[in-house]
This record gives sequence, structure tokens and C-alpha cells, in this order.
Amino acid sequence: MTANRLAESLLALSQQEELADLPKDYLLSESEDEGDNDGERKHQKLLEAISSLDGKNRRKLAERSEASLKVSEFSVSSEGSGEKLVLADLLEPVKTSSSLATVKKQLSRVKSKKTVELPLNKEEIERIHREVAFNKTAQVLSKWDPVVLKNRQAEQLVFPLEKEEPAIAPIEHVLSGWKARTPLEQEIFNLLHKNKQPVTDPLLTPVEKASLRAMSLEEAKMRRAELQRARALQSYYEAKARREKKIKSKKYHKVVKKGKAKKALKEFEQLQKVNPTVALEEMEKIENARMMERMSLKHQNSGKWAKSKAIMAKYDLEARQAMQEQLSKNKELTQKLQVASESEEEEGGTEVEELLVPHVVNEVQMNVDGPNPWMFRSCTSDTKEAATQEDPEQLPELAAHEVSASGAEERPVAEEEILLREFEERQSLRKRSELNQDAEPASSQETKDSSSQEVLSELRALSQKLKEKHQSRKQKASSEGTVPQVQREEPAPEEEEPLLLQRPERVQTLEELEELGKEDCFQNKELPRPLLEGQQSERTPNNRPDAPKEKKEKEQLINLQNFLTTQSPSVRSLAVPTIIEELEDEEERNHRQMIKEAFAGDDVIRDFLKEKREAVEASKPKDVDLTLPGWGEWGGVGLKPSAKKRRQFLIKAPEGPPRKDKNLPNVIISEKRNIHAAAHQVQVLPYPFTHHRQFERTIQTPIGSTWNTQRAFQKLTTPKVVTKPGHIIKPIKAEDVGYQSSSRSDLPVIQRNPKRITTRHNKEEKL
Amino acid sequence: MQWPPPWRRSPLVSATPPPGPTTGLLRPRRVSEAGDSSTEGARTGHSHYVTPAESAMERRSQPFPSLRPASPTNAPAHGRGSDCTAKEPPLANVCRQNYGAAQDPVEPAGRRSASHVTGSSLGKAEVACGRRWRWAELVANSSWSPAGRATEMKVKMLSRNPDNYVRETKLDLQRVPRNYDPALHPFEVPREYVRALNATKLERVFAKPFLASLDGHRDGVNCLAKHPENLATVLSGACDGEVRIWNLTQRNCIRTIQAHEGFVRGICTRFCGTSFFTVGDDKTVKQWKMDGPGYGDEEEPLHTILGKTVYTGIDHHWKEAVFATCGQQVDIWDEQRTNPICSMTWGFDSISSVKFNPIETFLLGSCASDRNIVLYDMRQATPLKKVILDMRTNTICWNPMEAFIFTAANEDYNLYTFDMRALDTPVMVHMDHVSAVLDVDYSPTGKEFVSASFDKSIRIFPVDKSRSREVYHTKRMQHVICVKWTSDSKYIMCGSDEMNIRLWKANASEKLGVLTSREKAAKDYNQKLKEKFQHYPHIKRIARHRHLPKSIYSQIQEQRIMKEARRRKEVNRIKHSKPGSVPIVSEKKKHVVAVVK
Repeated sequence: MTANRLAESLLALSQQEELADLPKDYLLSESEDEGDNDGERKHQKLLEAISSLDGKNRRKLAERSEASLKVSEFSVSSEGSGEKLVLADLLEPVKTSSSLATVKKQLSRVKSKKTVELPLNKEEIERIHREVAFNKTAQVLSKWDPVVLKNRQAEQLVFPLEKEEPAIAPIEHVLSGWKARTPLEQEIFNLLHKNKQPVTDPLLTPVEKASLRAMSLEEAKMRRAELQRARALQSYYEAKARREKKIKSKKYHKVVKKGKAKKALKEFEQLQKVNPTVALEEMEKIENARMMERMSLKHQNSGKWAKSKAIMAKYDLEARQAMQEQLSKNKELTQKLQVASESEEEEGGTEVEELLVPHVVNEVQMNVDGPNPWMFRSCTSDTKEAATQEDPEQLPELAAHEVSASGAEERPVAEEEILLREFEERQSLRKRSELNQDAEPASSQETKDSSSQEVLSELRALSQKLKEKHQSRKQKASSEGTVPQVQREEPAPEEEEPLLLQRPERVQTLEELEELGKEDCFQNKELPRPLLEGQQSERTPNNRPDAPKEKKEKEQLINLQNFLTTQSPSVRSLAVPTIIEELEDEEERNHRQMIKEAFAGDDVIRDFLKEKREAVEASKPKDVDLTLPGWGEWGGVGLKPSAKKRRQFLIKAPEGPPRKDKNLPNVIISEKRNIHAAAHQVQVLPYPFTHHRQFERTIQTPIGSTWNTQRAFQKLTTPKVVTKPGHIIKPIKAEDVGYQSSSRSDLPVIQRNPKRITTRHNKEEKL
Repeated sequence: MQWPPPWRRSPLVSATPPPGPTTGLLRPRRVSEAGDSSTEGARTGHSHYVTPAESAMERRSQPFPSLRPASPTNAPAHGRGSDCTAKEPPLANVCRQNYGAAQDPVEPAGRRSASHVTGSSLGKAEVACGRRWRWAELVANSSWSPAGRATEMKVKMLSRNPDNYVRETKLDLQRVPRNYDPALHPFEVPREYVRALNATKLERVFAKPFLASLDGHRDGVNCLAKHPENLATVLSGACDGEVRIWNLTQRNCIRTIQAHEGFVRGICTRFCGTSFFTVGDDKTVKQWKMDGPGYGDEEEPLHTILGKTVYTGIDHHWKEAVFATCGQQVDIWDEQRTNPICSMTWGFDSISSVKFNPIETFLLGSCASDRNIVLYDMRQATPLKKVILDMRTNTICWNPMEAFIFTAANEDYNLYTFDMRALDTPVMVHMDHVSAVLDVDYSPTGKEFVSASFDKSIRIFPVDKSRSREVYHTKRMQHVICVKWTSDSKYIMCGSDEMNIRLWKANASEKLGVLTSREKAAKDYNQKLKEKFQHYPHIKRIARHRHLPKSIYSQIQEQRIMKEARRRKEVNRIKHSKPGSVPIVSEKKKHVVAVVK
């Protein structure tokens, strides 16, 4: 049989024309009759054939390894069997027995499970392990970051790091072993024990606990009830107020307001009778309200509402009325006190204008004689200066005496004026309590009186008047209530002065502004003055011959102009700006002119040019003259070496590099450089510094004890690292910096798992 | 009339100037009440001060008593440290009592000037006698004045408080009062500069770092170890297998052990200092007792472990009874076992050194001859990361103060300081050696480290500087194989090829021994001055100047030229290629080949 097969195969081989590749050809030939798919089997056969070629016939029968339907007589093969073998079928015995059911079940369970994925190869696994371990370690190490940073930046590090900690005994121990000896200590102890102050720190002291316990139940209840009542009342009141507030009716609110006002007035009147000092305070409040009103534009018909009404006013009577009301209110609010203060001297006049004038101006004026101390002082000092300047002219015989007196009276005058104002206020109050109409004639009478007095006293110098005031003040101080008549008479001339201070400036500014508003021109300087003078002359005819006073007034005017020009910006913006600018221009021009005159002699530019020329000359390299007179020719007094010789022996210096300031006419750049100093100077900004100034600053602060106190010196020279000689410095530990050192052992995990170790070791030993 | 009016006039203006000899010494302190009192006086009408004319008159007519009391007890008016005012005339009497000044109130002017050297002045003239003197004011009554004017006048005088100038004991330093007003001390910068220059020069003059040479080995010293508990004890292993224990204070050898056949490759001490371990070429690990054997006993190791391969290095754990060896792989051993607890390996090459991290003690670092540095985690028994450098690393050393920092001594003449969390870029590249760096050790302060090199020198580097601050060499010192910084951070030891161990000072010019406080202060001050002026060219030059052996010097020059050439080539390449095609690699990154995860 085998021989036949062999023969067959050999025949097939011989059939091939090409003899190149034996197995390949063989395969090819086989594929002709059987097909490609079972090439492998053919290959097997071929191998068998080749192995059998060696002569010895050792061919084994193919072993039967699988069950199959077709059983050949020589070997078993599953070829051709279309059915699949199922494992369960094999297990099934001929007769079904119950004992195998469990096994079946298990089998089915196994089948239902999915297949396990292939494990990664070893390198991959190790790599993953490493990465995880590294991340974990890095995380552990990152806790040292702040410590390391702190140590790197530390001003001073003292090694070794671990310090011997001073043993601190708990406070109870200390106290128990300690007795109060000095009186102070005893006192303190007494205090502590009296209050039963705890040494340690519980929540409540015994005293507090006692006090807590002290309150009885009934008392507590009563208190609670009281509190409840109070709270209820409060809530009622609140609710009521809220309700009232919600009422929309205007009429209602008007009525309420009026009622309130009436009530207030009544109360005020009562107060005046009962308690005048409180009433005075009330008065001040009213005065304040007036000031507020004048400052604000509330009732000026300039608001949104007012504007809308103004449009309507043409057609609507009501609107007109409302506006009128507003205006009247404004008037009312603003006038009230003015009547009191101005009624004495000024008969009307400015009142009409006042509405038209911007209020800021008023404010300024008010401030001038009002509470602003700056304005006030400047005014008074002006008058004083005027007085001192004029005095020598008028009263030379008095001058020497006056100088000291006026100087000495500088402060008293200020006090005087305050007193005056108070007095005025009191007067006005009195008048208010009576009828206004009655008061006015009285005041006018007073002024007349005062003027007549002045005539009588032949209008002495102002300084004398001041002296009088001083005396009068003293009198007041000495005999306040006893001589009321004198007081009556005395204040009059005194009152004269503040008015003189106030009035002209107001009139002037008012008029000026009026004119500005109307004409927009800058002739105001010329115009108002005559006007004003006229007014003055009309108003105070008896003052007319008094020349110095007028002078003073003039000065005041000028001063006031200064005020106007150099006032706060708000004033400037409101008052027409063109004129002010012009004034400024003029001032500037004056200033420039002055400077020009002052420095008329110097020509700075020429001087500078000259200086520069000199500097350039000085820095030029010099020629060297080597001529020797008398050498090779006649010499002697009056003989000069010949020009040729001079030319010959003159060594011209090489021209240096061009100067840096050659093209800069306004600059001299010195090109001198001290080489010796340069060797000691830093050329390049050192690394950590970003600006040369930083570096210079570090250099400029001296650190030596010559320039610093001992303490500062020690601080400045502390070394960065301090070590103790002879002490071992151990590596930093977690406990040193306040971390908890891990209690976990550093031993590997496997160390704690002995089984694994042994297996591993066995393996190693095998290796 | 006069101008300014009397009330405007400052009393100090009219006062006479302080007497001649004392003016240079001090500036009078002026009591500034002139401004207030002028107006006040004018208003009230009676002035404390007199017009110059009056004062001149008084000056002429008054006696001129010196107003300085002998002691504070004698003159109650002069309170300690505080100004006080006394009314009424006892003044004259006091003065008379104390100083025997003229009895006669009217005295010629000539007498006055001679009356007292320091404290002669009149009326309210200021007498400037000493900084620590306080002004005391006395108001003289009118009766005192011969003219009989009804004026009161202020008399200012000085008092001295002995607390301010008397020493408590003789041992105290004399108090030297000093005015620190900067206006009085110009030229502070130049003066400090000169001081700094002198300090630098002196530092160089006193720079004598070499302390001792310990000889006795019969072959090159291959390894060194410090005793953890004792500063004076040092262990060394030589190439002939001999281990010696030295006493540094006596500078002699205490004990000699023939430990191995062939090289002693590594030596380390146990953390408690009772025993030490050695590894040698004979494939053994031996544990020895620190104390020598008793009389007559033979020198024997406590334990001996026979291994299969040669161990090239050993290090002991900082807390536990565990040590690590390296050779073919890193083995971690329990002291009680003859087998390693675990061995970790990554790649196959001989590992030359292994070191435990002193802070996070479960970390290990090793370096192998295939140019890599590998980090291990002992707990998880796994390597962590590997960085491959240009050339082989000989040793690594962990920073004892910064857990994640270590420095590697490389064959390419450089040292690399790494942050172990970011191995791709070294924190710093330390360059200065001109041959392979063989060993490195940190100062226990963690601020500096010392490196030993094949170029026969050792260098000290600050951790944050790439250049060394110091180089030590001697004529006879050959290739330095091992180096250690002592644990008090004061000394450095190095073992070299020619069988000697040398002891150096860590700071070359430091004075040894105990310093007095003044010496310490001077030292600190000089140090600060040097630091402050370190950028000045002269100082920099002097501070940097070192003498080097010719071989090293010429090598440095050569290296410089080579480096410059390389740099130039690099620049040219960048210049002549398409922008961006040649990457610019920083010096730090240049030497790292790869990081393997």
C-alpha cells in the first residue's frame, strides 16, 4: 500500500516539468485535483512521504483521537461528519440519572459566562505599576513643598533643626506650688478668690452661674410679659405709621404738615416764655434751615416739576398759583432772619435783587461774615492792617503807643466781634418776640444815635475806636448787668464796624453780577465804584469827611475783587468767566513783565554757550610744541624761533572722537571719565536686580555699627545659616516641621505577606 | 523802633554762642518754645525773655557762676533725666556753694571766662558740654539782677545723669555715645566698600583649608563612611580589601580590618552606630561591630552573606534594620536574613551605587552603567522612574533637607541636581570639573555639596549655583574617589587614589575653635559686607581668585575653547537653517536623553 502511494507521488513528481521548488510544485499539482483548502493536509502527506524515503519503513498508523461517525479501518477521522459533537451528549449516560443534573447545571453556568480577556504582557503591567507608584510617591513628596520653600527663603536657618523644648508645666501645677508673697500679689489673689475666678477656662464663672440662678421664676415671667407688651405696642405703632404713609391723598398730607407746623410754632412760643435758652437753640435751628434753603434750589422754581408748571402756567391758573406759592415759600424761608440783622441799617434795596442773584454768590458773602474762619480772618486782618497803616498819617503822636496796642489787641478784636454777633442775635430775638414793625424804627433810632455820637466825638481815628471797644469790653466783663444804659449806647459804634465790613462788598458784588448778567461786559470795575460811592455818600453823609475810612473801604473793595478772582471754582463757573480770564491774563502778563525786569541783566543762553565752548576747548587734545629757541639759529631776548621751525616741531594732537553733544546745542555732556574710579564701579547690573536703583539702594544703606545702633547692627548682620560647632545635624524629619511621620513601616508589602515571599524565594533558588 | 519787635525775637538768637573749646564736640539742643512764647509773652505783657540790650547789660553786670552741679544729690533742682524748673534765687546760693563762684554779684567779665571750662555761660546762654547733659531751667528772680528789673528770666543749664555714662562693673564695655544721624556721617558707602575689600582680601589671606592627611592605607581609598553618632569617627575602605576606622580629633587610625579580598566596594554604618556593613569584590556582604574585638579575640564579622554576584555598593536604611545593595539588581535585605526581602531590577546592567532617601526613607535612588538613574519605592517594591543621561552617572546623593532633590555625579564632568518629580529637566547643572566626577556628598544643612573628581580636585558647590564656590587640591592628591561632608557641616573628608584621606575645612578661611562674641560679630559683619559688595569688580576678582594646578588650569582653558566652538557651531547652524527647523535646546535639557516611565 505504501509502496503504491510512494510510486504515485513519485510519478506525480516526475510529471512536473520544472524541478525547481519541490514542495511548492507538489502542492500546485495537488491543487489541481483536490483544491487549495486542504493544502495543509497535502503538505502533511508530503512530509510523510519524504520521511518514508529514507528506506526504513517505519510508518505508524494514524492514531485515533476523536470520535467520528465514519470509522475507517486504518484510522479514525472526522472527515465528512456534518454534526457537531456536544459535550453534554458525551456526559449523558444511556440511562438518565438524577445525579448528573448538578453537573449539568454547573456546566451551563460555565457556558453562560463570557470569556476572560487576555492578560496584558508583563512589560505593560510593570509599566502601569510603576506609573501608579510614581504618582503616589510624588503626591507624598509634595507635602514637603512648603517646608522646602520656607527654608529656602528663610532669613536665618539654625541647625540642628530639632530644639530642646522647654518643659511647660500646666498652670494648675504652677499655682499649687506658688504662694502670694508681695502685697500686690496678695491683693490680686484676693480679688481672684473673691470673684471665684476660675484659673482654667470653663464656660461660666461661678459668679455668673450664681447670678443666673438668682432670678426667680415670677420675676422672669413679669419681665417677659413687660417685654411682650412693649413689643406689641411697637408693632402697633409701626403698622399705624405704615398705613398713614400709604395714604395717597395730598390734601391729607398737607393738612398734617400744617398741623405739625402750627404745633411746632406753638411749642416754640411756649418755650420762649418758659425757657429762653432752649428757644435760642431752636432759633439756631431755624437759622440753619434758612441757610439750607438758601444753599439749595429747592423752592426756586428750577426743579423738574417747576419747569413743567412753568410751561403750564400760561394757561393754567392753578399752576401759576403753585409757582407763586413756591416762590413765596422761598422768600419766607430765606428772609426771616435777614429782617432781623439787616433791618437796622439797610432799608430794603437788595431784597428784590436777591431772587435773581445766583445763590452761590450769596453763600460766599454769607461766608465772608459767616462762620468761615479763613474768610473772616482775612477780612479783619485787612482792616487792622489798614488801620495800622493809616494811623501814622492821621495821628502821628499816637503811633508809638498804637503799635504795641494794636498788636496786642489782635485777638481781643476777634473775640469782640463774636461777642457782638451774639449780642445782635440776642437783640434780634428780642425784637422778634415783639413786633417787627416796632423793632425797626428802634434800630434806626439807634443808628442815628450812634451817628450823632460819632459826630460828637469828632470821628476819632479808628484805632481809638478800637481801644474804646476794648475798654467797653472790659466794662462789660466787669459790670455786666449793672450798667445797661452804657451798653445800649456803646454797642452802636461797635456795630458800625461789622457793617462797614460787610456791606460794601455785598453791594459791590451784587451789582457787579447784575451788570454782568445784563450786559456781559467788563466795565464793571469803573461802573460800580461811583455808584457805590454815591450810595455811600447818601447813606452816610456824616461819614463823608472821614477820608481814611473811605480809603479803607477802597482797599476792601480791591480785596474783595481778589476774593472773587481767586474764589472757589464754583464761584468762578457761575460768575461770568470771560472777565476773570481777562483778569488772570493781565496778572500773568504782569508777572512775566516782572520777571523780565528782574532778570534784565542776565543772558543765560549766551553764558551757557560760552561755557560750552570752554568745555569743548578744555576737552580737546593739546598740540605739543617741541621747538627749542636758539637751537640752530640765533637766540636771545626778543627773538622768536622762525615760523618754519615752529611748524616743523609742532606735533599736532590727533583729533579725538566727535563729542557726544556735538549736535545738541542745549547740552554739555562731560566726557571726562575717571578710570581709577571706574575700576571700582559696577559696570553691569547684577543678576537678581531689575533696576539700577534697586541695586543702589542696597548699597546705600550701611550695615556697620558705625552707622547703626547695636540692635539694628545685629539684625542686619545675622548670618543666613547658623550651625553649632560639635553638633550633629540630622536630616530634616517630618516631626521637625510639624508633620506626622507615618507610622507605617518602610518594609515592602511582600515582607508582610510571608507566603508570597517564600514562593518568590523558591523561584529564585530554582533559578 | 527796632525790628523785629521784642516778642518776635527768639531768645536763642540773642543768646551768646557756646564757648569755643566745646563747640566742636556737640551741637546744643535747642528748646523750641520760642515760637509759642513770643506771642504769649507779648500778649500778657511780661516776657520771659529780655531784649538784647537788656541782656547785654545783664551780661556785663552779672556774676558769672557756672551752673553745673557737682552731683545730682547736691542740686535737687536737677532731676534725674528730666528738666525741672525751680523758682526763686537759691540758684545764686547754690552756685556759690557748689562752685565757689564769685561772691560779688558784680564781677568783671574777665573772671567769667575763666570760671569754668565747660560750663561757663550767662543767663540763658546755652552751654554745650556733653551730649548726655540735660537742660535744666531755672528762673532767676529779679532780686538776683543788679539792675533790679522786675523781669523774670529763664536760665538753662545742663545736668548729667551718671546712669548714662557710668559702667556697672569694670568688665562692662565703656559706653560710647554716638550720634547716628546720617547727615553727620558722609562717605558711608566708600567706607564700607573699603571694609568689604579688606575683608575679602583677609579672607583670601586666611584661606588655608587643608587640615590633615590620614595615611595608613596600603592601596587607594575606595569608600568612606561617617559615624552617625560620633563626629570624630570615620570609616574607610581601600582597594586592597582593608577597612580602617579613624579618629579625626587624634588624626590616627583606631582599627584595621582586612575585610574582603579585592576591593572594598562599599561601606555604610547602621543608623544607631553600633555596627557597619561592607561589600567587596569577593561577593560577600559583611556586618561588623563598631567596637573592636576583646583582647586576644580574632577580628570576625558579625554576619557574612555570600551572594551570587559582585555587590558594588551598599547603603543602610535611616530608621529600620534594612539595607540595600546593588550589583546586578537592587536588593533589599533584612539584617536578620540571608536572602534579600526583595530585589528590584529594570534593565540589565551593573548598578554602581544605591542611596536611601534620608527624609522619605522608603525611597531609593540608584545609578547604572547604562547611563541611567533609577528611582525605587521600597514599600511597593517597584522601580518608579528612570532617566537616561548623556553619560554614566557615578553616584547620587539626596539632599538631607529637601526630600525630593538629589544630585548626580556624572562622567561628563558635570553634576546634575534633579527634582525627582520632574526628571526631564535638571534643576541645575553644576559645571566646573574638568574630568569625570566620581563622588558627591551634601552638606548636612542642605545648602551646599562637595564633589570629588578624577581631575585630582574637590569642589564645593552651592545647590543653587551652577559654578563652584571653592576648589581644593594639593600637589600630592591624586584622583579623588570618595568624599564626605561631616555631620556638623564644618569639615570635608576625601579619599583618593594615593592611599590618603584628607581633612579639609568647609569654609577655607574660617577660624577654628570657640569665637568670642566680638569675633563672631566681626565675622558676621565681614560676611555681610562681602555679600553686599560682591558685584564690585575688584572684590569679585579677589574673591574668585584661586590657584589651580597647571593641569587643571590648562584643561579649563581647553574646555572653554571647546565649549565656545560648540556653541558657535550651534549658533551658526541655527543661523543658516530655516527658522524653527533647528530647535534651541537649553543647557539643562541638553544632557537628558530620555525619561522612561
